[in-house]
Amino acid sequence: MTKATRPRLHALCWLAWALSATVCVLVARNAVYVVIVVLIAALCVEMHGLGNAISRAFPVFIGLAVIFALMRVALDALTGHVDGNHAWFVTPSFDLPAIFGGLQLGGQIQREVVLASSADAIVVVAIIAIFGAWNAVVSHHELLQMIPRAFRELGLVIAIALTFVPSTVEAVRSVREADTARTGGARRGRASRTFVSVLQTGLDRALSLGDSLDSRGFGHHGNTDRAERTAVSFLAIALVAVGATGAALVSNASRVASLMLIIATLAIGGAVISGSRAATRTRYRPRPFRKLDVIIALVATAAPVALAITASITGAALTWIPRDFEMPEFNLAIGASLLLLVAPAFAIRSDQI
Amino acid sequence: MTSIDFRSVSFSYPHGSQALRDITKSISDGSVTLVLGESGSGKSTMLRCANGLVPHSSGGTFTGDVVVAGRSIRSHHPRDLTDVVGFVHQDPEAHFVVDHVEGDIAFALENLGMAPIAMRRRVEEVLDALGIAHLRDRDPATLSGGEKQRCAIAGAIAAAPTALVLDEPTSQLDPQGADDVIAALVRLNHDLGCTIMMAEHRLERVATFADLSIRLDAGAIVASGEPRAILGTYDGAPIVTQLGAVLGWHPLPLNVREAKPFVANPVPRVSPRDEHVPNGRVLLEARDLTVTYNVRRAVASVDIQLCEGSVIAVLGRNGAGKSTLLRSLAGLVRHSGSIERNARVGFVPQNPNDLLHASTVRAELATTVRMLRSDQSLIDIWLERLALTSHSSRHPRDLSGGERQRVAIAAVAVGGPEILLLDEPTRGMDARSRDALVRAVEAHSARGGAVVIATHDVELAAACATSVVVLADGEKIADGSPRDVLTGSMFAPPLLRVLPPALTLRDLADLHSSEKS
Repeated sequence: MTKATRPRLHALCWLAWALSATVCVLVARNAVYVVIVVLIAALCVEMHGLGNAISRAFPVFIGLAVIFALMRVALDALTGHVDGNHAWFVTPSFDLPAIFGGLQLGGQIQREVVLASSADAIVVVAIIAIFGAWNAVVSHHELLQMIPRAFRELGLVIAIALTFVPSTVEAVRSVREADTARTGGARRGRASRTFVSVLQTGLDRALSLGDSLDSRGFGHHGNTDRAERTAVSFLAIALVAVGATGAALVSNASRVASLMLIIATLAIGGAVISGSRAATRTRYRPRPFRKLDVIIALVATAAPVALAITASITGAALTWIPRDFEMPEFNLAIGASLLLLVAPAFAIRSDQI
Repeated sequence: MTSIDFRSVSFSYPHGSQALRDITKSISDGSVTLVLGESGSGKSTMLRCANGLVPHSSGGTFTGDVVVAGRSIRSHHPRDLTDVVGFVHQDPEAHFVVDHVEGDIAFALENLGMAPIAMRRRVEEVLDALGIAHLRDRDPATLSGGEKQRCAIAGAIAAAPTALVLDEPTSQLDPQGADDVIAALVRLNHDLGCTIMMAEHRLERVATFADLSIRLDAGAIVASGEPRAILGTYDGAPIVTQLGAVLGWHPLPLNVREAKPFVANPVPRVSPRDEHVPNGRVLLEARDLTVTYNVRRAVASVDIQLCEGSVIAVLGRNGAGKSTLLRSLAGLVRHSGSIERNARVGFVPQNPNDLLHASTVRAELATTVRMLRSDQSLIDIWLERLALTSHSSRHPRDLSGGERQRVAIAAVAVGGPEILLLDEPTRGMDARSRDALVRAVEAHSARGGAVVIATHDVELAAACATSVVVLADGEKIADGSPRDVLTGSMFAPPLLRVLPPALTLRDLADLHSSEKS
């Protein structure tokens, strides 16, 4: 007898999905297509979210993305003025000093500028949503195990930094609640009071975590001085080669620039390999990349390819530049291509029971 | 053979006072050492010296040396001592780096570059040694306090260090979680011969299996030796040890089992002091109070009445609904049922850091007074009540956990609420801090206020509560006087088990004085 279970997909599979989804929203910037990708991302979180703090923080990522997008639209609306556009209303205006580009801030708020900026902002929201979804479904530990050992310490620091997003959200909630209970809900000065508490709580946590990392051997190098010296030497060669590339480009010596660029690339590769040798760390039970992971990764990677082929065959526009309130075009074949990204959400494995 | 050797260690934090003064002590291999002392006496600093976090992580001025398994902390960073000394924090949350238990245990081994096959075997051994094999795939965030702390210990001993250093490992746990952790430590010491050095306030659980006690005061060792000898004169000793000291028992008992034989001898039969039943004005009345999170009922149909002079202790395991009950009484969560508040309510959360943001203790209290336009004189009254006057010009975040907890209580209390709701106020508190808290609670209730305390600390409940409520799965399963509720309970205060019906040493003192008169 068999039962269907939802498998935990490999981090590399999710990486392929996230990259494909990002390429899709960058290529198909039409708002309808972008919204489809965002919905697929939300579905993946729903089906594969790990249930940890960062997984629960997916709505926070979306919220931050929307705030960022609104700020961008507001800034564009205040600074973007094109002759001939339709003005919605006029605000007081002033010119920024020349050092800031001499832009006019305020004045006509134009419909075309706001709509075009909104269409772009949706893409930004989608990219952040994909990033949030990826963080919600991927095992950061597995990801760390995959990266070259030379970058592991940097990777771990980034992974831990990401966990500060949900813990900071929780700290904000509890500090606000404590402040409400203490002051009877008085709002005067609350922002500054809570900001200090949240900041200090975050710093305390960072220090504790730093102590924990240090106590548990993070950064331990053993007797690897020689490999470290080699890595540093490669890095120095790479830096010199990059500098020489720049100088050659300025002097229009394109052949020398190409040669220097190749040397710089090789030296960076050498630095990574030597750096990885310098790191004595080993990997505990790395998870294999199974057949299902390969299939899902391939299907997800096929999405942008299918998108490009469908667009070239049907001639459907992938972008949308709104000039008035109008529904964006929607091509069914393009939409179907994007649905390839939904593959991870429905990945099911049959287990013998 | 010496495992950890402190050699004339003195240390001052940057811009701070001297934390350690000329500490010289050798910790024997395979021994269990208890580091005692009041909050701020230098316990944590001494422990952090053992693996080099002080001075490498803290900065400051360090003289002398600590040698662990032949390695000096002066020339070795904490990361280079991982294989000889494991360190466990007070807060297990601060320990986890990886999002599942098994991976987190292997973290130190990966850093040390252990061969994968050996690493696999070691992780399995550690999982078994701590009895946490069933937790291997869990996210640490989803574990109970006791489980978290055992997993943290597993992560610290994975590299098979010869010594394990723990800073108040049970201070944030409920009694069952604390018992699990101590049992795991006993097993590590007895079965693996691991040297254990720990600071702890809940001594009734650990005193019996310690070989050596070191008592610190103002950063200096003021006494060291066999625990029984040291605890006889220590304020924070287990209550049965204090009882033994009062009654002249020899040898001093360290737990209920050791105290029982003395009770068989002729001892004055005690009669309980009169139980005070508050019957003043009703300050708050909740009926059929229910709080639901998603589909789970965190508090289920609880009735509670607070009169002037009431001190209600709410007991129950972690997750029983204690904090939610307090938050609902404070109006901070949605609930069904009715709450009639006839007085102002002040709520002090579990984590005092949520309330502390001013630059000094006095400024912290002044913030509340300013916001609520309450009486300025309350600042000095509450500083005095909670024994904080000497700390009034210090930064709240520089204080110990117990001191911070008292500052948070004072910061809420100076607003003048008649009802104080205290969520786990004795976490990380030493004996003196707890005594100050008991006195403050009694003073507040004596002036017509009321206090509700959510706590695991049955001795606190016995010391100051007028009634005890026990919650389980959000339901009220017991409600009555402390003596009625705690008698026969598996978690009854030790004194009640040794000399029933006495709940506290004060009961005995009352009897003594009444006999004299």
